[in-house]
Amino acid sequence: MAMSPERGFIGVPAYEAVPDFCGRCHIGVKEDYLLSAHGQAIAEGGANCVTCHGNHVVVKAGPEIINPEDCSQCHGYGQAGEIKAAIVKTDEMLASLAENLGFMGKKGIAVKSMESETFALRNDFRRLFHSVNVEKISNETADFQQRGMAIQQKIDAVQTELDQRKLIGGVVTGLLVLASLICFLIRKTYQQEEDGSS
Amino acid sequence: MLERLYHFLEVRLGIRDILEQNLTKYLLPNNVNIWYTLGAVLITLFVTQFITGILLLVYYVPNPAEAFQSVERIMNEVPYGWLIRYLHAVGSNVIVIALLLHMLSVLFMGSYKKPRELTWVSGFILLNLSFALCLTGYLLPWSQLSFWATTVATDAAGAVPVIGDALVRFLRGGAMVGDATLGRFFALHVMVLPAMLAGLVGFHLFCVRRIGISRPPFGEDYRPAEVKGYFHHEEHPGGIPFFPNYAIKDMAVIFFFLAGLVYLVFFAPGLFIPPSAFEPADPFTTPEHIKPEWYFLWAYQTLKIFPSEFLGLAVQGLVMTGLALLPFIDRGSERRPGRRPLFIACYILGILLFVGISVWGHYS
Ligand code: HEM
Repeated sequence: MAMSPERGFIGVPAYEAVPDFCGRCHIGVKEDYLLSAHGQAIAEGGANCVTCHGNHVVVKAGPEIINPEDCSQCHGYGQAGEIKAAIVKTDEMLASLAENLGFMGKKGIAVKSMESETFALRNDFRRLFHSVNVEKISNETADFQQRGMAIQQKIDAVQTELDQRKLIGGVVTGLLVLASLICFLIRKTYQQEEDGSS
Repeated sequence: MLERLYHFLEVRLGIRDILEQNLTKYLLPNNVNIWYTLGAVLITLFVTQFITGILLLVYYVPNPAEAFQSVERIMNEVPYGWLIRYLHAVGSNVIVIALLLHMLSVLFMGSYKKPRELTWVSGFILLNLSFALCLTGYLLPWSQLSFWATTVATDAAGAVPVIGDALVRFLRGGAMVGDATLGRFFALHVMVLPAMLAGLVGFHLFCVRRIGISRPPFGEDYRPAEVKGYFHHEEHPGGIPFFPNYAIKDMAVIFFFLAGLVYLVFFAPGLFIPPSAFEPADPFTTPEHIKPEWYFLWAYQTLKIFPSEFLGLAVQGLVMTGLALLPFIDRGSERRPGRRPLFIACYILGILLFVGISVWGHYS
């Protein structure tokens, strides 16, 4: 039933039609893919979307996908490591940006605009490595690094302010405790007076 | 200049006499202890709430479409807005702590007994007004936490037989927590409840001052004060002057509480403000672990312990009514804890039960 065409089931797309299928939603990625060596070679059996991402058990996009075991089906054993090295550092940086922002959001800092900036940046970067072109990735990585750093700087500025607040808070707390102690001491002198007079 | 103003007022109002009667010549029992400072602490904390509350009101927008954003602005854009908001939100928790301590000390020393029944009853109403302020204030930021905590809390009223559903609708102003709920909670939180609270604090203090502060029931020479059939202000000849001798102790404990408040505001606001308080309300997504604030956990859990919610509600009502009317139930004149073993046993058991059920509610 679920697989009846009347209900919208369109069956298994042909190998070469897969990018069109996925690209209905992942539009930008499709563009980059089609221009890449993988996309250009699809007629000769070049990797399509599901070769790396799986079909039903979709593998979440991440650098883990690039590994010698999978890639060496077509490429030399060393090539996966090469391309992975080119992206891993930047990808990790973007991931840690997202993590830091999530952490701050939980403390009531308005991070929404920084979060969408990071999200867009990460998307762009992942589009980039669909080109599977080591040279192109290396050339553009610096730019991504820089844009990531700009966001990181904003995060750092917020963090510095939070630290400063803590410093001030610590001083104020200390002063209040001191005031409390002084009052207790004064109270003590009154107490001695009271005890003396009774 | 100041002296002339003073003289002007002195001639017309006799302020020196008022000040003397209430400060230097106002004598407290010579064995007065530190627990008697909690009333002054509460006054200070409530004044802080009033001030920070008014400041929040400058930027807060009481409508579901803008409430969350306006609070986010207060936290992130308004200069020192975060400080004001945290002082107010964390302050409400500190107030509850102080309220419970004040009530527990009054219970332990039996100072609710005749002739201080009205002081007790007004105090107990103040406690409940404070809870109502906490509950209504919780909704205002219109966060996930606000929305769902209020949904759960108002839902409990549905367990009342016959009128339950109508009651829930009345509390919410509709079938679900929404615009109307925010409107009425806002009005209650910023106008009705504070006005009632201020008036009742006045009455409470009047009672305390009029009948005279009680003598702590400790020490060898303590004897229960004889309660007469007519009005009698309890004097403490040979006691210590309120000002400066005791006022300085008030100050010491006030500073101590303020230090605690400031510490929590700067170093552990998350203790009272969980992450779901920073997500906008979403009526279509129920968060996983929605729990009321710590001081409502006991009520939340009792509703779950009993086989029916109505039974739980009835037990809660009974306990609260019993506490409210305690001075009319527990009528003996003995106030020394050592000579009231039954009461003290119930007292300790009650505290353990409160803590136990709350912890259970937290982890359940
Ligand atoms: C808004 C909250 C409250 C404020 C501002 C307040 C303030 C005060 C103050 C200033 C005193 C005199 C000094 C002292 O004993 O601490 C006092 C006494 C007293 N309060 Fe409260 N109180 C509050 C809530 C309560 C509550 C919740 C209860 C009990 C349910 C209570 C019961 C009493 C009693 C019985 C006394 C008389 C103590 C005595 O004479 O020994 N009060 N309160």
